[in-house]
Amino acid sequence: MSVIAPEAPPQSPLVDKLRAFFRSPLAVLGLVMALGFGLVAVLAPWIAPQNPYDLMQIDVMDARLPPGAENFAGDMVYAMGTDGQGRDLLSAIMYGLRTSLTVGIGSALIAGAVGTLLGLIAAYAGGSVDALLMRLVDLIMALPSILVALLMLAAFGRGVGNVVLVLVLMEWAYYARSARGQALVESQRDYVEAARGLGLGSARILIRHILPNCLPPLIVIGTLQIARAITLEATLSFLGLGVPVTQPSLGLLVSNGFQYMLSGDYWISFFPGLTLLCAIVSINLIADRLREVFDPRALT
Amino acid sequence: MKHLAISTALAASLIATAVAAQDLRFGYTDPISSLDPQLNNHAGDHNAGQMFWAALTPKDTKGPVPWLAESWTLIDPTTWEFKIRDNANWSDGTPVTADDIAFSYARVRDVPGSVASFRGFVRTIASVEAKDPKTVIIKTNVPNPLLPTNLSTVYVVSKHVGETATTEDYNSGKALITQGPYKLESYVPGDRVVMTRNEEFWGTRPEWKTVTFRYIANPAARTAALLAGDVDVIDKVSLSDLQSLRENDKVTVHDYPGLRVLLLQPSFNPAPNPFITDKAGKPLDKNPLLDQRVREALNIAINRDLIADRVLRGGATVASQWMPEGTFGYDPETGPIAFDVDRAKALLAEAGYPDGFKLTMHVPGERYPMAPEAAQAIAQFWTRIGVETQVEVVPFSVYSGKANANEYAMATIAWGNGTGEGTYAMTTILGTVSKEKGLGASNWGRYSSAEHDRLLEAATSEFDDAKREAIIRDAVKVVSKDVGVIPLFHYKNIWASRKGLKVTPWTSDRSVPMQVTSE
Repeated sequence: MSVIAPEAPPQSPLVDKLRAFFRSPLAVLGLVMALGFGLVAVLAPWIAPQNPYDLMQIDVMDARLPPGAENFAGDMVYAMGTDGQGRDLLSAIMYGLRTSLTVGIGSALIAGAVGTLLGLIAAYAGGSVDALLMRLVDLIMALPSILVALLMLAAFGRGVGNVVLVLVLMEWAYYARSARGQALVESQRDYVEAARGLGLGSARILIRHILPNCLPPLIVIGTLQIARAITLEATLSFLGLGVPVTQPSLGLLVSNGFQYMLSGDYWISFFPGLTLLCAIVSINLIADRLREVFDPRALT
Repeated sequence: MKHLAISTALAASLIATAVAAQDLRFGYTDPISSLDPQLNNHAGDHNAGQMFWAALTPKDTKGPVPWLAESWTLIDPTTWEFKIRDNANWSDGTPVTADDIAFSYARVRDVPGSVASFRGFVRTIASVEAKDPKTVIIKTNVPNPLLPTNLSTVYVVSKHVGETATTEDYNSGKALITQGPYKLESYVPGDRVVMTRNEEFWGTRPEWKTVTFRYIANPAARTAALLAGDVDVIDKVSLSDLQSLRENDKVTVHDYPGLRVLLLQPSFNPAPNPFITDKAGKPLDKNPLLDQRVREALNIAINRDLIADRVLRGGATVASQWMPEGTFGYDPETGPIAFDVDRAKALLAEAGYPDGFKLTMHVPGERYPMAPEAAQAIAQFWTRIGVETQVEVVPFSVYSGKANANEYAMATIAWGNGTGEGTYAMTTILGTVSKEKGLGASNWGRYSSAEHDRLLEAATSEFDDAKREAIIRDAVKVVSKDVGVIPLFHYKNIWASRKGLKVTPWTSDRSVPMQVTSE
């Protein structure tokens, strides 16, 4: 990147940002990996060699076979081996990705919508509404999320829906705080004054004028929160509180394999763990680059 | 008396083999719920309990377990006289008296907050009286030949401190005026109990001067702790680590056949159960498990041999009933449960469920070795006969409360059979639940059979051993025909220690540092 290179003719800011994004090879790698994982997750029911949630299809006879082993019936090969129940790990990982990504993206979107809205309302309303909402945010951010999540799951029971609910309850605060801060800055700007001068209603000013200008940092937070939610779901499942054992997610697969680690059956934990790692790294690479792109000071 | 002779001989042999005092760090699977020895009849509580407290009668005549009675005699079928050892003292120096015994048996009937009460062991006691400070007269409401066996599980606490003490006082150490071989040094709930040898102890003093109990529920972490040298001995060695530990020359594996049985308890609650639905997920209007044919179908659909071999990796033997072969109360005529998928399907169809139904079974995580794994394999077998099964693994603290309230459709329990004979399970997990009679304290499925209860009553009032065993065997047949519980496996007892230590099992399946000796 040379400083003296002639600048491209001015274009729309979005295209500009996109170009900036793709200038980082690491970010592109992250994006490709994330898209790959997304594709595998979406297509899992069609491309997985086995449905790992269907107990009819798995056989305890095939328990703990190493990668590359044939099944008992001799009609398929377990590319990544099997776990303690005879579940094909490759299929289990594909299905596990579905759960992880659903939980991650689902909770980030819902928490993002709720948090942003509350943050904007706090900034715009000010006074006691603002104070109340922000103290609530302080409270939630002060609580260790894993502990609260454990308690809530123990109370509500497990299941993907409940995990998403718990994550939303824990995460909306991050969006709310950021949205509020951004909105407070924006609401002092001239264009908002102008909009007020035109006699536009508060809702319209909030949604049409302030919100779009608050979005960039929220997108960065959202991307980071997807990775955080996936990690948190994996942690909860590892601790045995996420999804049911007969429908393992990546965290639960790692947990299942953990007990075999010392006996040399490394693959049961290793492959799901590697997948989890790659998925989170890829999302973090994207988030990192997005942050740089949206922050003019960071972009060199 | 016979017991006195045994204990004296034992004491002599132990003094002869005692070596230099050392420290022992023991990695345990079973967590401790409290230091109150009368709160919960849990394996983990017993492990610590036996360090601090003695019962009136011996749990185990093979191991060096202290007990308070010097002798006992049956005066008439419902009256027993127990003589307390002259030298038995509390750790504050006061003697153990008949009043302590009376107080203990009264307190144990209702300890607030108990989820696994000891009251079943004292249910036949009508009155406890002190004839003199060292003589107790116990009257039973029915003739109970098993009274000394029953009492061997109930620890004796002191009246002078215990009278005003709550469970919290035991946990804080305030009420730990003990009469066992060890004294409390510190207790960190969920993590460790540190104890030092009670040098004033009236019985045989054990080899280890300081003993640390470490609670490491995760099996892999327990193995890792042993390999790293953080602990000297671990119990309930993870079956998945067995092979590599046997091959490790720094470690010795000690495995013995065990009494502990893994059972499933189907729910006999007539109300619709949220964990049983039709294939579309709609609740059924009645509980299909009430039908004997359905229970039998589930029972015979499980390939136990395969699970024992593949999942439990030879760490357990296949069970056909609650007692293992060769014990008092095992019925040889109740043979192995034949694995028969076709008959299972036919039975389901006959009972009106040709397409099966959906079932969620519950199992506590990390408490019963490999139970979640075994449950998932069972779910595979049940799914194949049309009963689509999901397994939920629940932390034991949540599980025990809900299982005890009969909320689950299919509960899992590992039962220690700690007395080594058949009536213990009959009293606690098979008897019709009755708080007054002290029956069915862990009958989580609420199985109830008048025939079984009648046999239990007959067995518990029969003084002739041969006749009593015949009655227990009849009860095995009754329960087996009803499929009141679904027996799965008997766990082997497996310890692993650093080289140079020896672990000797007791007949009672307990896991205590007194079993560990240096070679």
